[in-house]
Amino acid sequence: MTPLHDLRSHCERLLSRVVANLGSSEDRSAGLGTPAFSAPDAPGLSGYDVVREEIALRDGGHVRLVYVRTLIEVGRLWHEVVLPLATGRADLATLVGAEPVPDAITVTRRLLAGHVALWGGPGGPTRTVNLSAQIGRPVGEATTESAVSGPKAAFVERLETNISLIRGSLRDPALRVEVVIVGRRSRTEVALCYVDDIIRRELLDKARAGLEAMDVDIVRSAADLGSQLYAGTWTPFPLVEQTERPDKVVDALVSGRLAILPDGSPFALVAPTTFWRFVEDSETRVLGPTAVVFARFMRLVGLGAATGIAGLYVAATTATITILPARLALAVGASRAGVPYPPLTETLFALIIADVLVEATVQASKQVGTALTIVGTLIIGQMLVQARLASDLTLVVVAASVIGTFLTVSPALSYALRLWKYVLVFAAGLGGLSGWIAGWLILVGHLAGLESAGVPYLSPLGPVHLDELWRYGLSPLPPQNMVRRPRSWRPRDVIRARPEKTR
Amino acid sequence: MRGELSPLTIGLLAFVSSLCVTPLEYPGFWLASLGPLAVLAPIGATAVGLLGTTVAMRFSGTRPWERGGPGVRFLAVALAPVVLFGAAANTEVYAQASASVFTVHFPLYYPVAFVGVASAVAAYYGVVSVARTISVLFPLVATGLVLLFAAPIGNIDLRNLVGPQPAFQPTLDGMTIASLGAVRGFLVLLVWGGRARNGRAATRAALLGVAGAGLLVVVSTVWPLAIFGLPEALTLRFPLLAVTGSVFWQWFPSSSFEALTMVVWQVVAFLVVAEYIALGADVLRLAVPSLGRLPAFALAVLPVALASVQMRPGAQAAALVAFNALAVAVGLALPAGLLLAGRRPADGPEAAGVT
Repeated sequence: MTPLHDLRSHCERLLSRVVANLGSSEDRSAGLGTPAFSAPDAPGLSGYDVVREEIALRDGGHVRLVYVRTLIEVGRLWHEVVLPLATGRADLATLVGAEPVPDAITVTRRLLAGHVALWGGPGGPTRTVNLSAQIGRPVGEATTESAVSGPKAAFVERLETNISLIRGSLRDPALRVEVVIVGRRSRTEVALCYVDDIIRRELLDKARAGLEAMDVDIVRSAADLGSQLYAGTWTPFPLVEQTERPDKVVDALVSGRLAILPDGSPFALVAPTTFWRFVEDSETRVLGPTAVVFARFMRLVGLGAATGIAGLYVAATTATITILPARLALAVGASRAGVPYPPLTETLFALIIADVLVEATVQASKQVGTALTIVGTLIIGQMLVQARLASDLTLVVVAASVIGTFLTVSPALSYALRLWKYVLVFAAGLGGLSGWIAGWLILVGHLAGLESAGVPYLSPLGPVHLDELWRYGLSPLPPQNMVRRPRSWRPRDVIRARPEKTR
Repeated sequence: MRGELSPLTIGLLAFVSSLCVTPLEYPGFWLASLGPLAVLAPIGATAVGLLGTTVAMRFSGTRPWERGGPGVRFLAVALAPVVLFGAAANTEVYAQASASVFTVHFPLYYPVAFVGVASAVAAYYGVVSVARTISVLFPLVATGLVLLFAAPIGNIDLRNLVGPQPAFQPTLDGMTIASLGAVRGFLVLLVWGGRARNGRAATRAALLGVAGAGLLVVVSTVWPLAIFGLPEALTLRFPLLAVTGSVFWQWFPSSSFEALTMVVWQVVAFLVVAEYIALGADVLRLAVPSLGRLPAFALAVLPVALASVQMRPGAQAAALVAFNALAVAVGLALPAGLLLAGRRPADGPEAAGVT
């Protein structure tokens, strides 16, 4: 018989002696080797996919193993654990990848992370081998932050893949990745990424301490993590940036910011952030500095108009119609002829219908969403005008308002502005233009009072950093002129580029 | 004054220097009613205030407020009502202007409520936050002012300025108390605009502010005269509103520039009132441990009640006297309180966000 044939027959004999699903740990305790700690098995761990088996060794001894079948790669178990042990090529001490375990709790945690626990036989105390299955989809295109000419890769649900995407674009030895386990039950790995010689220490220490002190059951999403980590004053505005694009994370890291990537989420959190970051995207950066300025301006104007136009319409058509030129006032009056409600009621009515449609479209599948759009625009809109429940001008204003709120890539900011739109409409209904302005002032006062990880939310405009405002906000100059990193993030290494060397 | 000043100190400096424009606006009134000494009183008080504060800060450190003790208590009792009176008075002034031109269909308490509520929200986040708000809105105010003064240029008739009596002084008197808020607000914006966190920068900004406010007064005086001529210019209650109200552009979204005037004025009123509320509240908060809640509450309510009486139409003289008294009170109380608060080593933590 050839050695290979001998091995196969040995393995068949071994497999015939494997006892699957041994039951409770008490049943298994007799006749096994003494483990290094008092609870060798994974106490409390049971289920259809929890497998407890025994490997018969050549010398007549046994090695017992426990794993969660749905979390490991069974093929690797065979090649990397069963065969080496059964054939005597290795024991627990010399098995490749075997790590000692300090206590039973660690065994359970590692099992739930895709390890296999082994004990008994020669080689000493209990050890675990990481055989976690690479479950997850391949890297695809970003869906919430689409790119035309910029990088298209997006994060996936696997933390290791996401970190490799970042490392692939930023091959800097100063790039650090720390992992903190968050969630009493979910035991989610949360990676803290930063560039060691750029990031502000205080920012890093606070984030690390915040993650370590976080006492929650599970981490549902990246947004959930961000809201708990940077919770402060109540606000509907997002205080951390959420992105699914690695290029944006890399850009943030080299600016002196921090990225937080929870396992199981295709989004990374970036902190600190400012309001202005939400009107940018990395796409415009690729298109050139002139496009950047134009895009930012249009987005800002669009967002402002989307938030305020409905309120301004109410203000102009109620208390302060005298501010309109005569012809415009007549046109507005003609449009509203026959509408039985005051402008405030009419606008609120149309806004609520529009927002309900938006919500339904966002929640629905693509096919149903298309149908909803048709129902919303063609049927409800047209019928509102024909029934004289709203004027056509009101619908134009409401449509512009709804479209404009989607100029930001952040759904959280979009929701916040949609909410504030109602505040402005109410204020305008109460006090005309004066009330509308008061609504805006309250908004600015509120935003100026916010901070994201210690950075003023309206920086670099409030407080003023003129150089940053010019170079990163208004300047149509090429990127190589941006010599310094943005002051808002207070980086330790402030020099971003050396144009004299570049030339 | 090495080291960074606390935002509270800078805010109070702004308040002191803003009082300087009172006699600048009303020389005729002061000369006619109270004599030259009355004109000099606010100027003297401001000078004493600025100089005294500068000297006092050398002895008291940059952040004497956190120390507590009799100095802070004195400052709270002396300054908080004055600053809060300023807040209430500015609100009232804006409301009167707004009600006369803009919110004519609304009761007076509507614009009062709008400015009051908006300012209180901004003040809730603290003086540093108000400074940031000013930084954000200053470009808007500056652009608005330039537009306001540029738009009526076409209506200017230079012949109105030539004659036996240009009558700048009567026009200045005719501006009434209502314009005070806007002019003073401009000055406060410059001082408190988020770029003054050390003594030198604060002084430079204060001087710029006085210059800017003076220029504003001059332009506000010349424009009504040049556009309306005599004697119409002397009968205007709100000359600046009348000037901008004379501009009609049918192709523009708003037919009248009055709307823009009120926008700018509302923003300025909001910022000034927010700053005063935040400063007043901060000073008062320091005194609560030693004064008790009820006296502190009384100190906050009384000046507001007083302002609502003082600022009614027809009470111009009383209001001006009140502002004059403010200048003297603050100019003397601030350095005195700082000295009382005693020397404290400059700890120099960053005045967060005020850069």
